[in-house]
Amino acid sequence: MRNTYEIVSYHSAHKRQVAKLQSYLWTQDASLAARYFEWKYEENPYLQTPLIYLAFQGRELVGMRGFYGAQWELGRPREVYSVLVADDLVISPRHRDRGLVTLIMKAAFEDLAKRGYRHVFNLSGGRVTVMGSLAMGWKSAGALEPIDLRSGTTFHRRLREFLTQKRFFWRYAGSPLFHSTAEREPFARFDRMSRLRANGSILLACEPRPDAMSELVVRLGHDGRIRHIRDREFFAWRFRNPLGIYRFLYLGDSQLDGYLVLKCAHPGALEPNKVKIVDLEATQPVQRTELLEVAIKSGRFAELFAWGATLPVDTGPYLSANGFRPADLESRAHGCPCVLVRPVSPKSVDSDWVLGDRRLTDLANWDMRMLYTMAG
Amino acid sequence: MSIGDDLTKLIESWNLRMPDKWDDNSSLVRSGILDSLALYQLILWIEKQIGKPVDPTQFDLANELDSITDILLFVEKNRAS
Repeated sequence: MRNTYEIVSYHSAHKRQVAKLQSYLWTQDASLAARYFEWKYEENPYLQTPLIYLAFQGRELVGMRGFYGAQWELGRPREVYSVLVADDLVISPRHRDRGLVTLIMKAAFEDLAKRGYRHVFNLSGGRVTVMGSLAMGWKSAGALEPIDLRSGTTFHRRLREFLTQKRFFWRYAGSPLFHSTAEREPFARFDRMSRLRANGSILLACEPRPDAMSELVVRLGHDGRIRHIRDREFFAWRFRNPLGIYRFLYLGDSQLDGYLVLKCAHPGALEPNKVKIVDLEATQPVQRTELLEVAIKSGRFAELFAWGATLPVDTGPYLSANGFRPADLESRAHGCPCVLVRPVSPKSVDSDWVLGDRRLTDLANWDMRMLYTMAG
Repeated sequence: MSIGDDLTKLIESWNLRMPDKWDDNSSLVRSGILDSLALYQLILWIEKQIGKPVDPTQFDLANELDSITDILLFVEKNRAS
């Protein structure tokens, strides 16, 4: 059969098919996939109409790429830009290696250019996606340098590693049976501790405080690097992510002196269940350290994970001194994860790689946090 | 078998939608023939040849690995260094 594909823009009638296709990427739970889609694309505060490009063969949806809305601030004086984030690239296995990604992206860029977009970012692509993107003219601003702190799970981890190398048994390595309690329920200890006031002034909580968090971000000011807007609306939307479970450490009372946000994946998500530091703010370095100390000690997480590249200058050495080590070494050796950027126009000139007064391809111009990406 | 023959055989084994006529100088990357997964496998093959990891974010992948000739040149250059 000849493989002819039709690339079309998303319409609400496609929602069920999209959720089904995303069982390869998001979750195999259809209702959870639908809820995630609605949150990410339909309730997105920065883009009212989902911009998703679908590849059909006949009536079958065989590939897609989504672009979700995001709003960035940068420069001095501060300027605000809407730059979409490319995500959710899935090609049905039977249709891989047939040039379908190129077809989808070509159609997407033509449409985005017509809509007036000048740049797109890609912030949480895996190695295969990054490779394909680089081939299509994206550039990496720099690697995000994953780091982690592991504790108390050597036995289970080694058992899983052993099983993955064994015929037949490899398929059971992901079973909850071969995970420690701390891995199965990453926030169990944290939640028990949250009933106490962990350390005089730090409160452990399950709920976000969008007003107080955004007020702190404004009070702390902005150094001009590229960062996502973190206003009340963003926080209120962001922590409703159905594929994430969030916990919060607050320093201060009605007016915050600092906060730290942790995330682990929903049990139904197709994502390793590590605990991630996705955002951290404080008025003073010593308060950042206090928040991190409480996160490390109160959680005793099997794996506490962060991106090291754009941490505040005092935070990296503190985490190293407390046992954090380079993580995901295989990805690191290949420059992943990274911030990928691309002008929408296929014939880009040097000035197209600049946004406001910032060169996009220099990681020093980014204040990158996991919360700005779907990793967080 | 030469390294060039090995590479040609590997690419042919991926069952890609190759044009009817192609040779060592035909564009594979910029033309979109090599998809993400094929590129990933290509990088693994290059790593095996040069004996070290290849970070594709550090060079212009679309130009430096565009054809079989380019890929072999890349292997030669990185082996030497």
